[in-house]
Amino acid sequence: MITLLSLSFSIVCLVYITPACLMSFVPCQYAVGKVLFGFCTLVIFAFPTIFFPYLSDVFDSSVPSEFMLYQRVFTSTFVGRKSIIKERFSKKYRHPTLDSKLTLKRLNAEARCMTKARRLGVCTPVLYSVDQVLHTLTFEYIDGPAVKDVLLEFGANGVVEERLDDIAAQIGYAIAKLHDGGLIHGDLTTSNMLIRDGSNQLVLIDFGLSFTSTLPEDKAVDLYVLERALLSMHSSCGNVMDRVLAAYRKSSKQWSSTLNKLAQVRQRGRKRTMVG
Amino acid sequence: MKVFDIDGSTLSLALYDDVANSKELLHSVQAGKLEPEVAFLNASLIPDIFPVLAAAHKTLVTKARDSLTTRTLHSELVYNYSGSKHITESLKRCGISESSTYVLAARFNASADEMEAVRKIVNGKEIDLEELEGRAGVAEIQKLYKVPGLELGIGSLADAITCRIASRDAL
Repeated sequence: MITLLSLSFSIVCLVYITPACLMSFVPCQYAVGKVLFGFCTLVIFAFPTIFFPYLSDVFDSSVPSEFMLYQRVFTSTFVGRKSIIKERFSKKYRHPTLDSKLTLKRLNAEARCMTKARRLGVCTPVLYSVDQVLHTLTFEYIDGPAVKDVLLEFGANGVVEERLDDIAAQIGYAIAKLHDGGLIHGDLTTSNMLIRDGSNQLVLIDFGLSFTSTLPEDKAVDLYVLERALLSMHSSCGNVMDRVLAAYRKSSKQWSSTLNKLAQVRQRGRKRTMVG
Repeated sequence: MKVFDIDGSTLSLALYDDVANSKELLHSVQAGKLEPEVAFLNASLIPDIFPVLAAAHKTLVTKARDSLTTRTLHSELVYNYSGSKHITESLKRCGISESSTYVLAARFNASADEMEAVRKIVNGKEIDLEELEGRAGVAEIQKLYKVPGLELGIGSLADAITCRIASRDAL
């Protein structure tokens, strides 16, 4: 982020420095026109410098830019227990009514999907409190590394086969349970899965993009997102996806239609919704 | 009796068994004449104090925003302990009935004198809060909060109740 910021700044500086040289080439007889042209180019280059800090927030919180809902995560205590507070704050450029409706809708959906996932037998953090006025969710703090960190460590220091097998099997089992219950996670990446210290249990987090659907298409896309994430970050660990799919096949009741669709989705490339 | 601190306010909890005068207690609570004001919860629905603390936290927050849905702070605590939005049903199920003998009394910001007064009006034997876990009606809780067996495999009953308490208003 810092290097790109300095790059944009240097571009702006360049634009400042070379006006005299460029202005003579601007095909306009009047001085006003030249100044206006210079101003416009300045604005175009200055735009990323000003807005990049906000844009990087979007990339950090792994939310696709079409939703434009930003999130902040804090650690805190809830009646003596360590907890995580997730705040969903709104950006002021949106129309206020629309913005508040969207934020509340997403907040409630996340709380609902998390409780539904629990009911299906998928391990998620315990929801301690939902605050609709402050737009926050308070969950239990899970002690332990993200699957992403564990797999990166495997990639750097060599793979522990049975631990990898265990993690992949748990991932496949958890996703199978979710999909059989008609719930799509929406953001299946290794940074959204934690391993609880001690019991080595897999915990799924971040249901902010989840929705209910029984379509094999949606389930296949969910699995495809995970596959792309594993391929891009953890190809040094060997074929993790195969093991995940094997566990999925064992635990899910509708695996055949989903896996057939997955083959089709792989051929097409990534597509989120079949609209239009 | 134990006192818990919740974001500045305190909650005092006392567990009673073999309560004989639950009918009178219920009537005086419903008439609003119980002095000092206490919340009575059906203790067989409580496997652990954590869900009660979560409900208490929620109650304090709604009180601070002046958005109580029931008449008093303590009836709000009983309503919040339930997983349903139906007020009368929640008060009936999670609060005491005329025949209940196993009761948890809770009061916000109570002094030692007030808790002593509570002990006098409740005609029963005070027991330690550690006994909550052993005497909880697991089947009853599972039926009331609709907790499937799968969910008990991934967490405790208290976790399931806390989730439902938290997400009730989001449903």
